[in-house]
Amino acid sequence: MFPPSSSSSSVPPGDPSCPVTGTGFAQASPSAAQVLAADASVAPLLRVRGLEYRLPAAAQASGESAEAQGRLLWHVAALDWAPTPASGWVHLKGDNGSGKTTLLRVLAGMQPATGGKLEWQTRDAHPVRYLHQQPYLFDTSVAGNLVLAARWQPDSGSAGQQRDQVEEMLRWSGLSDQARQPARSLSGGERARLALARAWLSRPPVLLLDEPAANLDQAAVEQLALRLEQMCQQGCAVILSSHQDNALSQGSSARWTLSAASLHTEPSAG
Amino acid sequence: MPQRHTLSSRRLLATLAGLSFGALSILPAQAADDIIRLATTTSTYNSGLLDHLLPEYEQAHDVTIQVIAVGTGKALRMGQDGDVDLVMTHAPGAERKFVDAGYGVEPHGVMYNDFVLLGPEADPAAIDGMQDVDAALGKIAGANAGFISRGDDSGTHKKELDLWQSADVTPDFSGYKAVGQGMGKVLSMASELQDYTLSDRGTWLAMEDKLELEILVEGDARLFNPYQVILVNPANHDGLNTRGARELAQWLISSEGQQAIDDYRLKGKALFHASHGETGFDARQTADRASERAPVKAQGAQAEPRS
Amino acid sequence: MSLLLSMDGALWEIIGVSFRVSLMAMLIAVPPALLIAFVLVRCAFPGRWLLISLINTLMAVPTVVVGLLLFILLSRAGPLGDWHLLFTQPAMVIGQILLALPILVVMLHAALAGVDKRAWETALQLGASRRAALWRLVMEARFGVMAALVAAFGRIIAEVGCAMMVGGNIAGFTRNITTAIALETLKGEYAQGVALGMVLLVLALALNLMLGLLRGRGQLVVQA
Repeated sequence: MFPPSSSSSSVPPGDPSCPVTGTGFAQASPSAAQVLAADASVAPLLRVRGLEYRLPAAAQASGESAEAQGRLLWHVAALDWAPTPASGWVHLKGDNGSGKTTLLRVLAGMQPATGGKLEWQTRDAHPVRYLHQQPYLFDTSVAGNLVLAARWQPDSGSAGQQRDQVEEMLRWSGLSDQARQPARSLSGGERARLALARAWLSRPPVLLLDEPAANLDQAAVEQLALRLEQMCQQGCAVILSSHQDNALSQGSSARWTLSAASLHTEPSAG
Repeated sequence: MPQRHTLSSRRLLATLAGLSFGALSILPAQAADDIIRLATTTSTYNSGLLDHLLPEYEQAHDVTIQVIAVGTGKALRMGQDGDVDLVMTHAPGAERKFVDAGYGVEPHGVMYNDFVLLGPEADPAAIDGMQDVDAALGKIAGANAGFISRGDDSGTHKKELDLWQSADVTPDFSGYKAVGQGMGKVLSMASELQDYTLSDRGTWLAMEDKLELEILVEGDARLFNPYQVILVNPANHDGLNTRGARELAQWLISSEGQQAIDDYRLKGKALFHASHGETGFDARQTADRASERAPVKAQGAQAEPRS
Repeated sequence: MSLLLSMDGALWEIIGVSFRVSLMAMLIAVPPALLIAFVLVRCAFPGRWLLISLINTLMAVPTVVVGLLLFILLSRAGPLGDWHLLFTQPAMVIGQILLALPILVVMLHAALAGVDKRAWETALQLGASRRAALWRLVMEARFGVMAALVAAFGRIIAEVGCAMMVGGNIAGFTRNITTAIALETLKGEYAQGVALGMVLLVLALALNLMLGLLRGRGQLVVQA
């Protein structure tokens, strides 16, 4: 039983069913308190207002100004999301071409929206990690990929601390035995685990996964679900996308659906 | 001037044609009787003397003379390899070895020109107007002034080394730069760097407008520069046009050829002095004799090129 | 070969000049070339294709032309005459930088463009600074990058036109392998020219073997 943890604009931000517990979470920043002055006790992790994405205008006859802006891919009128460690992940659903990937990339700050406002209410300067549908593994060893992540994380510790992190993540992903192998020699499931471990190494507050179950067999998806659950329990807010239900849909606390160019949110039946 | 230009283009074409001809004739070389290949030094060629002498000869004798203008070292090497029929160079020591080793026969002194010691107007070694080239070189080395040397084994380079030797100076002071390039390039380098250098008068006259240099020392008999023509030894190689080459050499030392040499003027100044009457086999002796006569002859020799 | 060994001091000095000048030129040319190549890969600005064609064209400019332009600039009468760089090693270095830049940009661009676009995003996502991410791209494209470096180094250490023109072939100072070969040929000393040519040949062989070895290892990694 997962309590609903997502809220759309139809739900008041102060809805008691989606409290922010704070354990393991980046705390809401003071500015967030100002934004939601109505109820200072609760601040959503993600605040979205009027966010929209229009496809680049194709070369066309000028004059029709509405058309010249390009087709609207999706529009998110208002969204306040305050996940809790116990709530599990959000399942972002939508047909192929509905703009799931673009939405995730906009949320991750990898590409700008064409309009609206988006705020991650966290002290972390770089809170979001995004994983491509087929994660890119650097052309080095399994451990080497983790070493890079350890070196690049915002507050990287001493070399010794980094080594400990790498070894911990090797164990966590079950890849200790393959540490010295070239990362690109791994199987599909192993690659997915390595990419997840690499993203999780620095314990980011938010993780976005684009179609993580695509191209994976049942066993690999279950392995992935196991680890995602652990991450959620340790306070990571997770959104993952897929165009159909699968093993990963099961553990979700909420379902966001992209259809007819807008985002609909509902608590998961789960 | 335009006429000279067309002539040298034609000469260039002839040289190119000669090269391709040489490349094609890998089969037993069959010398064409109407082609004479002459290797000579760049300084001779650049002075325009050959363009003055040869076209007339070519017409009169119905031959084509292919001039290959290179450094003295390479010219002699081409003779040694049988790549040419005749060489005309100005390095007495190397020429004597060339003949002694049997690579060449029938050497004849043809003419001489002279060298000039050039430098910047500022003249840091204070050699302007000196009569004694040995002493001037000594002062350049003593002042550790910049000196550009051809450094390419050319006749001019060998001459320069002889001069250092007779000045009793080892040219290893830090201002001394051996650059291994042709005379024209050396002159522009000396001008750019405002260094001293030794040049043949012909190249200097041809380029002086473009250079920020001046003649500082000239007229010393030791600056004279004897030229010889030497036939490539026909015993060593097949397919040489020795007959044509010999005729050309004989013409150069004939009174007609010698007069033509004396008549040549560059910018109104005489460059070459026919010398067949004065020289024997060892052209070096000419220079020695000249230096013996120097005290008497220096004035006259100095005046002559300026006339 | 015995000739090569017997040529002792002067020879090593000539080889030393070649390497010192060309390595210095590479050292200076590579960072800006890398940045230009990176910008060409990452940023789609109007006229990019034009710029790329232009750089491709520059690659074909004869070395003597580069030498001539530089000579005019550095000559006493030229705009940079006051620097007194003509006929010095720095002038040769500048010339070789100009020669190396186009080939470096073109080949580095090809190498970096071959790297998956996700590599850059992934590095930034994992918190890498732009500099660290760029370095990672270089490492991802390391075989192509090595090929670019070898090709550029091969071009500049083997060129003679520019070195002769702005270096001046001054013995013990700006005389390098190629200008020395030109000189030995001029002097009719073919044997010494050939000996020096062999040094370049051995160098080219060593560079290519090195590249081949690296490539070979790269293939093994992919196969494993």
